[in-house]
Amino acid sequence: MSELKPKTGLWGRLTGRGAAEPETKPADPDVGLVRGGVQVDETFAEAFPMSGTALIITAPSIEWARIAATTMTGFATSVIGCGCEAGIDRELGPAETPDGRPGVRVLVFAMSPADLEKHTINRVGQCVLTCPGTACYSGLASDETIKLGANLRYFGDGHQSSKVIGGKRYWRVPVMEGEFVCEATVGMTTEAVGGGNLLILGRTAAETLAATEAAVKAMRAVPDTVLPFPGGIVRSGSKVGSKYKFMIASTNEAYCPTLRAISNSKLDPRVGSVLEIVIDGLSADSVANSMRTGLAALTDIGLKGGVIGVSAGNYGGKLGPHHFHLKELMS
Amino acid sequence: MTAMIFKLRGEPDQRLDLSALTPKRLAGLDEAAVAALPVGTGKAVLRAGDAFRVTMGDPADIRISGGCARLDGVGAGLDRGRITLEGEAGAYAGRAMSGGELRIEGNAGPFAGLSMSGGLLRITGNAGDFLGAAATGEMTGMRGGTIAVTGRAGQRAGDRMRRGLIAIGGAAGDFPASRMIAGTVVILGDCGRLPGYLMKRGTVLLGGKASAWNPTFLESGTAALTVLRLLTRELKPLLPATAPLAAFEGPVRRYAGDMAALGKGEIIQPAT
Repeated sequence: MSELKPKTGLWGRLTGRGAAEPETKPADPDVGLVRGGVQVDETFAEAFPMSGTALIITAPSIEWARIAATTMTGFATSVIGCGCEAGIDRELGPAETPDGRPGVRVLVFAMSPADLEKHTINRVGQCVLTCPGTACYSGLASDETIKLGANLRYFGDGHQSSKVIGGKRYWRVPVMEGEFVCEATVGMTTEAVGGGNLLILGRTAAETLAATEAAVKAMRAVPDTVLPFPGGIVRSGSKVGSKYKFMIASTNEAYCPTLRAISNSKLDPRVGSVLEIVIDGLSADSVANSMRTGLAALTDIGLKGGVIGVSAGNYGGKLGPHHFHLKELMS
Repeated sequence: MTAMIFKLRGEPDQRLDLSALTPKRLAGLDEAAVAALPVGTGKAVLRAGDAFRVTMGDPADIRISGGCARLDGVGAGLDRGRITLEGEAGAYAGRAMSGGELRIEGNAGPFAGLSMSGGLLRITGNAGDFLGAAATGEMTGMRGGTIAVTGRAGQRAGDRMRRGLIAIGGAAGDFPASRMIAGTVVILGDCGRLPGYLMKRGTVLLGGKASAWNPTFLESGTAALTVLRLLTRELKPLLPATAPLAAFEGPVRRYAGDMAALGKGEIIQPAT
């Protein structure tokens, strides 16, 4: 919201040096960085390199594949608190999976290949191996791999066996239900990107949520990306650091509508609610595609749908080498 | 570039050893050098030019026209490229091959795919005894790669097999997968006596019945095994479209054995 006058917080109000009156005039439609009456900030989303992998989880029915995938990618919103970030990329038909059963492709991201391997093994071991009828395969063709079935096989306690089929090694682990099949290694990439983001600045909480849901729906169709937060949406965007030394991140008061009077708010007075969409992708291009899709969906909804503005979070360019400029994504 | 063609002049009066006719051995040779390659096994010296009419072409794509049961060692030591034999092969076809594709459009004699470690050996007819087995004195048989036989196979297919896949579209003789160490043998038809005799590990898929069953194999219940869905997808392009592979995608009976050996192997039959 670069051309909107920022308020200067409580000190400004008390001293009278802040903006006397909030700007209430709507942005001109489709001028500069305005689309559909939505003011798009001339800023960028700052993202960072990650290690990523893709898995294909199959099951006798799509329902059980979904259950396994949803469970496996649960509590994987941020590497800060969860160790990894994960989500469902898309559902696969029987013709798209190695064993001809319905499946789900999930993506997992971590800060290093070692972390990625550790968390992927833990999650598949606890959430897929345990799930009736499931099997797990690599969903990414790559020369770089991490171990998966090669470690999970030890659950078989000596009764496991391997089978090389089509040049790939699969481990068969006997379980009470029958047999769990898991590919020994899965492809991974160190070219993955985490932390792409969009901030949706809306008129009311209901309008902001509806617009963000629509953007999420469009963005979920972009391949090789996931939106790791609940329903693809973050309501509690954070800043680095805190007044409390033991907190490494805390609420981003500049975007909290209820703190606009007592903080260095960056919000237009018309903004009543802010939501964020965080994007992880297997490549920078995939993240850019997702952001472009989301931006287009939001500007299509426009001011009439309650979208006041769209912005993005960054750390001044110091955190990550990937800068996704909203202006470029609009063109 | 068209294939390099060896057209058999007539049935030879001695067994031939065609192990010299591989892409690796033929690369860089001119027509005279190719014709001078020894292929005889008898007292009388016989060269490629004597037995075949040679048409130069791509040495990575070799076509031998006119098969004969006296053509031994076709594709032996093959490590790249493709060899197609239009007709019957003698013994030791694809012996110790490690890559590439050998296609025999007819029957193959005994010891086909002996000790092979990679590549694809396709036999559109029947195969003789000791398919993918170990040569005399060797500790392991086939160590990798794929053998696909459209028709029948003889005795001891996969003897001492260590790794890889043997797919037999028809029946097999006695003792298939005998002394098997690991790997997969698929027999879509019936087989002779004692399948998996003394096998340690590995998998035998048996579509039909065995003429005699080994008592040291123990029934281990009925289940639908996901790994068989992977295997049948691998087998589909290797076997005729009519091959009854779907039977392995449903419930199957599993027999664990051979308990007279390590006992970590299995014979799997369709449950219905």
